[in-house]
Amino acid sequence: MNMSRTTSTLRIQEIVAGYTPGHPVLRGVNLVAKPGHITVVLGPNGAGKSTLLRSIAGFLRPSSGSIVLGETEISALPPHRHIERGIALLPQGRSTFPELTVTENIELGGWTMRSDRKRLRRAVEAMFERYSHLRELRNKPTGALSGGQQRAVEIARLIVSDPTVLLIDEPSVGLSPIVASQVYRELQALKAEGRAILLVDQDVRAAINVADYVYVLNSGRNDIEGDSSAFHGDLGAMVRRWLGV
Amino acid sequence: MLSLFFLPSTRESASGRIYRRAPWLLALSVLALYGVLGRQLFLLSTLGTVFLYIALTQAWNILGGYGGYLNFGMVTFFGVGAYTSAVLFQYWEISPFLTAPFAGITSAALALLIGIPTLRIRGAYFALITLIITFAVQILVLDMPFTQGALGIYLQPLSLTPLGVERLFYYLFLACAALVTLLVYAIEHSNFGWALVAIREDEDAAEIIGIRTVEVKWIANCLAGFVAGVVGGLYAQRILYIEPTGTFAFDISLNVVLMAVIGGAGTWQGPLIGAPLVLLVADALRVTFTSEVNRAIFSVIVILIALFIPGGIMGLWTRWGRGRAEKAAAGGTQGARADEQSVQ
Repeated sequence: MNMSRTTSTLRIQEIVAGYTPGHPVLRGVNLVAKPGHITVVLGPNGAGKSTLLRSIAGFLRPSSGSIVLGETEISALPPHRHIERGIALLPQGRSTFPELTVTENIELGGWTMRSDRKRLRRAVEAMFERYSHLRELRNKPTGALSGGQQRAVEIARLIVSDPTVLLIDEPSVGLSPIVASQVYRELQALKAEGRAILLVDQDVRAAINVADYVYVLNSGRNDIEGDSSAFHGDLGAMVRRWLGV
Repeated sequence: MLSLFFLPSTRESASGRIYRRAPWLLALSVLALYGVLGRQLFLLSTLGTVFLYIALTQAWNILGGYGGYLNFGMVTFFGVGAYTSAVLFQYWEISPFLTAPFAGITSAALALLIGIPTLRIRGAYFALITLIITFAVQILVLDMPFTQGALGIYLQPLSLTPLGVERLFYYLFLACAALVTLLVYAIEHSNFGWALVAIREDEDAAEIIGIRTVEVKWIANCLAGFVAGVVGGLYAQRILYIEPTGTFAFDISLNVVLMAVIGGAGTWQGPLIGAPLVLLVADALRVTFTSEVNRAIFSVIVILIALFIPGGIMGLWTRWGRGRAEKAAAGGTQGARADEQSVQ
């Protein structure tokens, strides 16, 4: 793994985006995700957390505002161009290619390296060294793996092309607590490699535990933000506020 | 972008490829020999039709099998190809043998035109739209003066004996089937094939990893359109008379989908198994049961296959192979454990 990767800060400025014209889900969100940091976005259901990630990943074009990586505006880029810029998305739920084997899934993660087979093979091999438990499963279709194993394949596929910005959407959904804690540990390892991680999560406690900086969205707008230490206090009060009770 | 289409993938070893190709190459040789030795018109004609359907099913397989986009309008490209050749003959007396590539280009252009708006739509909507487009094009051909509407277009018979004609089309369609199979084989073992499979498995995930999903689908649709157009152009010369109802018959589209699904969609071998199986079983039932009961029996067979052999015959074969490999691996592990224990 390249430890001296050049990383850029991701800046979201006043973005407005939604699925139906005239009914934005995001109504002017501001956010910064720095290299070597885990930036967490929290909020109640419907706050626009996943919409935010889909907008950054190019699936949803903002009607206004800007998404800047380093010095480059990327809000108009289609999703397939983001990986070229070093931005990778781990979507919510299962996203492996179920009929393909573990190796094929990870190889496909290196799509941008397809013209350099040797480099791709080295990168895939590096993933099997990093996640050694996947090695013995390499010829199995991912659809036949457990939830935790599939998550590991997804993470290997996510980072095989060595992206610098990781957009992670609800990484622990459907996983047992033990496997979920492994996933969060892995996120910390990826952060230590200098990557910028933007994590959207419903598991408030787990997310705050790994976060460096926290943003709370409410009704498509920035609500509160601060260092993660500021959120370690009364989480129950925050959740009650979301629920309006 | 170009590297997308020419780099072979590494899914299979070279020795594995030779081992798997051998029976098919043998079958191709036997069929090529039969074209010279065979004298039964009925059999030559039936096999010619089988080859025609193999070519069409392989073409469908590119986007439908590998990409997972169910196109129920394959006959649109086939029919437009047939009409392109027929119209060029009608007004300029150019032989369909010469205009077949142009028929392919016309159908490919139509595939692109249809694909640009429709291939952004996913799932059942795409299938439905392809079905509707077939009926729309059929009505258009019925109404346009230069296609001569329901009267249809006659083509000039070839100055050959009946056996000569059957042999000619036997070889032409055999060549089409072999070439298109080769194309599909190349696609399956290329990055373009990977891209299509990724689209089939999870289109959003495919886009995230950097695949230009929309462009890949457009190209796949154009390739399918080109092949169907060429085959349609040659078909016009074979049948010598084309009219909208028969040329754009939904049965052709349905047969193509059934052949791919029963043989094994998303594999280059699937259409080679599915096309003869569906045609020969349907013919055998038609001869055995002269009433419409044969259609009901055929439908029951299709339903049973769909229920009990998901993935078609190639899917069954793959699962059997995978099961054997897993058993062998488990046996190997147990053997290794026994060895370790014996050492301890």
